[in-house]
Amino acid sequence: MTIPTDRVILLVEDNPNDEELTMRALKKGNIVNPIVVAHDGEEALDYLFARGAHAGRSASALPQLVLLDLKLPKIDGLEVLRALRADEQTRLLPVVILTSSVEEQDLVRGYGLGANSYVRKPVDFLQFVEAVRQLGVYWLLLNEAAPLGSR
Amino acid sequence: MRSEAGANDDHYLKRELDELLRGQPEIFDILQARLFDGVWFWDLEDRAHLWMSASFWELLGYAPASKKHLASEWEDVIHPDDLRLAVDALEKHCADPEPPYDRYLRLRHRNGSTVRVRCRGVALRHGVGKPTRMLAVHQDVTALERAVERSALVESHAPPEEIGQRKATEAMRSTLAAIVESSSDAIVSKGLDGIITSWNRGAQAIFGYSPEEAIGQPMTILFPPHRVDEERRLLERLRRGEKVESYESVRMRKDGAEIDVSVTASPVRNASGAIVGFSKIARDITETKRMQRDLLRAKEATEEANRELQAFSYSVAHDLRAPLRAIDGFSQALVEDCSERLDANGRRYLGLVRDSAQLMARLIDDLLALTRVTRAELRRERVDLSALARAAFGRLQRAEPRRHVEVSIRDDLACDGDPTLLGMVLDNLLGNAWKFTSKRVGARIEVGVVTANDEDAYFVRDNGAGFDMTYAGKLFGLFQRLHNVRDFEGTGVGLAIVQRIVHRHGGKVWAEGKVGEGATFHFTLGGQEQRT
Repeated sequence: MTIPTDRVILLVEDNPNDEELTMRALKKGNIVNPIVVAHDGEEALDYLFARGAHAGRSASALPQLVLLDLKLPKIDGLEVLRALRADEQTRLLPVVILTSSVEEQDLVRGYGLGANSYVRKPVDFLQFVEAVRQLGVYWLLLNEAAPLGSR
Repeated sequence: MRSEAGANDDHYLKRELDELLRGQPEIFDILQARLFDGVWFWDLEDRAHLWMSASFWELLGYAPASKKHLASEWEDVIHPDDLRLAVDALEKHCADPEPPYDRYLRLRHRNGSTVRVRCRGVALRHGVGKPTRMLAVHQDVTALERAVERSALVESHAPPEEIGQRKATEAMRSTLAAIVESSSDAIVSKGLDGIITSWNRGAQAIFGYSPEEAIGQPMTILFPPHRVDEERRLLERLRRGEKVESYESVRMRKDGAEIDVSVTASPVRNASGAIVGFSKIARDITETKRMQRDLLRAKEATEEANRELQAFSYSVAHDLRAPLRAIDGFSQALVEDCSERLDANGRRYLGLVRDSAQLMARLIDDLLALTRVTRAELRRERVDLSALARAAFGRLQRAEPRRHVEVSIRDDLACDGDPTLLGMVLDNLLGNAWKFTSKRVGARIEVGVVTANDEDAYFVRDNGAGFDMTYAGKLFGLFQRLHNVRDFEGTGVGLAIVQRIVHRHGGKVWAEGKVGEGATFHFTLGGQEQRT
């Protein structure tokens, strides 16, 4: 199966171990899209809204998918999600919460703020690879994204 | 009739009287009609017969001719409360004539009013045998008793017809005064000027002042200095005719100690409606308030502890798993990327590292589940336990499609409880049954209900590995396991969760088992939520 490779996946992850493992899992899941990593919530918003360190970027070039951790320094994942959903440009951007916990409050608030999926990172790495592979298949291949400019 | 022998028995008048009684029957008419208000003569050998004089009936407003000489006629007019006492006294007098028969009785006048009589009588006997007759006279004492009542109310100057009512009012007043005096609440009154005019025992107990000390003082002696203004505002409201109902405030005892009180104050009006003073009822609620404060503090402490637990759980859920992912993930990376540099033992060690990381992750998850059970709001609704049990088995069977277990679930198991939590109970109990029958050929699991102590006790029974009843007490303890991990994996949290959920429902859980033969877990759900 061929997964479209042109568009960026934004991985929002502060833990370097998790970052490396996620990159490895994406690779093992045959996902070869360019990956941009933001290490906290502020960096993620800077990238998406093309400001701060990413001021030169074209804001209309949105990633195909955002993998969003919840517990982040500065601006946490749920606040990032709220900011995305409040903005015309990014409100339909597919966001998958990829995090450690399935605490009910996180699930409820995550979906409440308009997350498209909520996936818990399994401790078992083989399961993690499988989860990431399925995410890729679904969000990069099967799912028809809302057309750009449909706002 | 016996006669008293006196010093003047030979008096000429006595002799004349004896003559009169013997020879002239008219003298009896004078006695019964003029000197007594009734005479009766009773046949004690045939007690239905009772002769009553004309005056007897005239006193009660009846025509004597309309009455028969029967005891039943007498019984008809005597006050029912007095009848039994009168009959008892008559019997006593007949048995022992020494104490005279002398009673005050109430009789009913034909017009419904009460006639009070003093009835004095004597039983007569022939020789030494039982008395055969009884002679008695009535004296009308109605007017006398009224006069006594009137003199008791000499201050009232009331017309006689009001006396009865006044007497009742007076009785009521003294009853009320006794109630006020015996109340443990402070009941006090004050004049329009706020000066204390009455002070009961309760007031003395609560505030420490005796009536002598309090009466004549302004009510403000009971107010802590910073609250004196409150009395002024209170008086204003009372003067306007408002009633102030159980408001909570602070008062000061004689010894200076401040106490919490609940006060009800109202204006007192005279017959024409003018406010003449105020009444005040105060209850000492210091103890109640102290308990309320303690309770509030305990509640706040519990809430704080719960918030901390919640923050702790949240942190555990997020932060403790990340290192485990790294341990597992990089161990796997080592196996994948560097396998040519590892021998079989090295690869086995990495497998053990991964197993341990995953076990710890499961332990964390189970602990979090346990704290969630404690925190979760308990809902109560109708729950279809049969359906929950079937769903649990569905999941177990899908996870291990090749296992064959003979499952029997009773169809109509329903109860009141929290569906999510009860789902966890069945998941754990059925998961255990499934696990511990895994090495058994012909595995059987049954879900049903029995009655224990008038309660429905649901059960999950299996014919699996069972357990030694010696250790039954340890089954529900956190991290307690009765089986070796090599034989049956597990974290030792499942049954602790089951027990906590059952207890939160107000129920009980217990287990029976035998090594090699199986185990049965029972649980009841009680009627009410228990706080853990």
